Amino acid sequence: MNAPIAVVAGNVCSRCHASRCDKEKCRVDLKGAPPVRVIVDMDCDALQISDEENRCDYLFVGEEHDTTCVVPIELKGGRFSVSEVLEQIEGGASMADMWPPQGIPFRFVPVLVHGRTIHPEDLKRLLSRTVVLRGEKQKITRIKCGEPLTKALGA
Amino acid sequence: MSDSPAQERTELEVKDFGPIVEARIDLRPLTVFVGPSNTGKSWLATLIYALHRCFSSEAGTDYRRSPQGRRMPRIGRVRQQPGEIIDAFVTSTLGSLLLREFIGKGKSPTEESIPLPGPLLEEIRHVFNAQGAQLTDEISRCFGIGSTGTLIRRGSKEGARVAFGRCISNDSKSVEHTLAVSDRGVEFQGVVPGDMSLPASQLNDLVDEYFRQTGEDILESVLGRDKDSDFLAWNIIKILENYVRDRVVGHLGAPAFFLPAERTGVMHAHGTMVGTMIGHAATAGLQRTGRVPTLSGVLADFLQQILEVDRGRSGDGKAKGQAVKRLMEIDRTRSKDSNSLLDIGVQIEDSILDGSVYVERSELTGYPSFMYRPKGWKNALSLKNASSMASDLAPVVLYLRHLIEPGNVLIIEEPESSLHPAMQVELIRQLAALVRAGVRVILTTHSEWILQELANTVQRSALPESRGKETTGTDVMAGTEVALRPDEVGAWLFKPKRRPKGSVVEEVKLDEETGLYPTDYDAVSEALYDENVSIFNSIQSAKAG
Repeated sequence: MNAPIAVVAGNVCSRCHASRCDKEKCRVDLKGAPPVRVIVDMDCDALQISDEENRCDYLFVGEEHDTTCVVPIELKGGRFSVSEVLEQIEGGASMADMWPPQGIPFRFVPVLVHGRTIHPEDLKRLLSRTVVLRGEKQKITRIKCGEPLTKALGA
Repeated sequence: MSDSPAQERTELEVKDFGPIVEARIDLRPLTVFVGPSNTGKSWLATLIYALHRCFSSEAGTDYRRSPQGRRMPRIGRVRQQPGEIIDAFVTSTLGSLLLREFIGKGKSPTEESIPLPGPLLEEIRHVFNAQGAQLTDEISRCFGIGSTGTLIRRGSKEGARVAFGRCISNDSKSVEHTLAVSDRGVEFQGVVPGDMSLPASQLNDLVDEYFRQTGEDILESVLGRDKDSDFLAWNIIKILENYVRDRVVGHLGAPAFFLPAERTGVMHAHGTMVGTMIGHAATAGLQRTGRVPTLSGVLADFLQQILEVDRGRSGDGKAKGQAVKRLMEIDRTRSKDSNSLLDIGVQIEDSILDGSVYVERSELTGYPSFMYRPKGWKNALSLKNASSMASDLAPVVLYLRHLIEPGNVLIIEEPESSLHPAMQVELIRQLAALVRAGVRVILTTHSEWILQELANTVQRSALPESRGKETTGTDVMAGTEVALRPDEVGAWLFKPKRRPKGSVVEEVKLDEETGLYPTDYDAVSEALYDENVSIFNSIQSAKAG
């Protein structure tokens, strides 16, 4: 395990490490995803995040060549509100800021995984917003439930 | 097939017709065809139009309103070819009317019906099949084709097949007629029910109307006049004709109007088109085939109707521009009081066109010019100089003002053409009002906005009554939205199919969770989204790196 991944693993209680991303009748296929990784279950009690605080479902931190990819993942199997998704992924991004070491090269990929078709107007609203992690501004990448994370990572 | 609660439907089934592999639809008061280009939406719409043309009461006759408006036919203009069989039926029916006058007044009209005698049913079968035999010509004309083989899907081994008819849910009385299309032509097989009885209630309506119009006693009418020129006799035939048409072909017996996608071009170039055709007409027989310009039937009908559109209302066909404008102003005043088709036309002018459209005729030749006067302008513009929106919607307004009546069918290809999304939504609201006013509407569209407003229109019908009164109703003039029940609206998705190559047609059901009609537009939006995100994120990453 490289240094940044090890730091994240050490910063997060081991009880909150997950081996898969699967919630709300929606899952992400991790086949082909960077094998050196930490997946944080953001709903884990041990993280001591209050219920009022917005956060995504999972934070995926993986080793990718010479860099680290930081991926907040929000899973939505049913109907959802775009505003809610934005807040949850933004919340996940701000928490992701706490765990990886500062100054490392990283790639930030906020991901929404959804089961239902997103209405064109909702897509436009989603498209009009960006999520920021340590100055890197990205739009939310979208994949369908069951699709591989590699699709979002562009691998 | 729909599981809507509607008790009576007009169904249409096609196989290997044009690009369509298979389709089975029921024609509802508002029917919408959606899907990618080249999947057969216009083909099906044109086929429906051809069926209407063939079987409607207007088939082969002048499409215009009479100068007298909607009055019943006048005494003396009757009895074109009733024959002895019909004479006998009319005589016996008049006898029934008389009998009811004397002894049957206390009896509920719904308890009575007059069975159609066997010879009359045989005559109806003969006439119906004769009409069906004209389908080859009518379909070929509407599509503008020289051979019926063109109608058959490429790759089809058995030729095209069309079945249509009136269907009563869960009832064995459904009627189905079939067309087998081959290279040689169209073979029609019609079915006329063997047990038809004319409901006496329809005759009661006739008697009421007769009293209302003439004030005469029915006994005096029947005994005091020559039956061959009798108002009642003529109307009995009309009632019989309408009843039989309804029983045999359902809604396909209604007159239909088709506004093709090319209407903007026609509104701009009708003068050139007509001039060219007239120029070639005198020498057409001397020229090689292909050099004489021709149009499809739907386009030719539209051109003919639009050039004559104001003749019915103006009577002598020589209306001056000012007179038409005055008429228009009268219409606009009337619209404040009622919710008629005229009102809906005026509402389209007010809320979408932001101006008015009318026909101005040359004093010298009588040839029409189509004018658009924006609100607040003193002078009008020729449609040629107005926005394409005005050219697209002008025919809708003019048809509503002059041609269309409740019970008719209006087919509009791509009503969204040239319209801002907000105006598309407004137009759908007006078309929903049109449906509520009794006009059946068929649309082909590529617009997600239209589908979304359609979904809202259907969902409004599920609102609690108290809430529904706030947001729905028939008062279109107040700007409220109309609600249509799910069984009044049918959306049909034309989906491309690889094997056999062509398209299939499926009903799109309103998704209860999202309140939307799921279509393939979402896939386009998602692809656009993904591409945008990919480009944006790559640029951002490059900047950061």
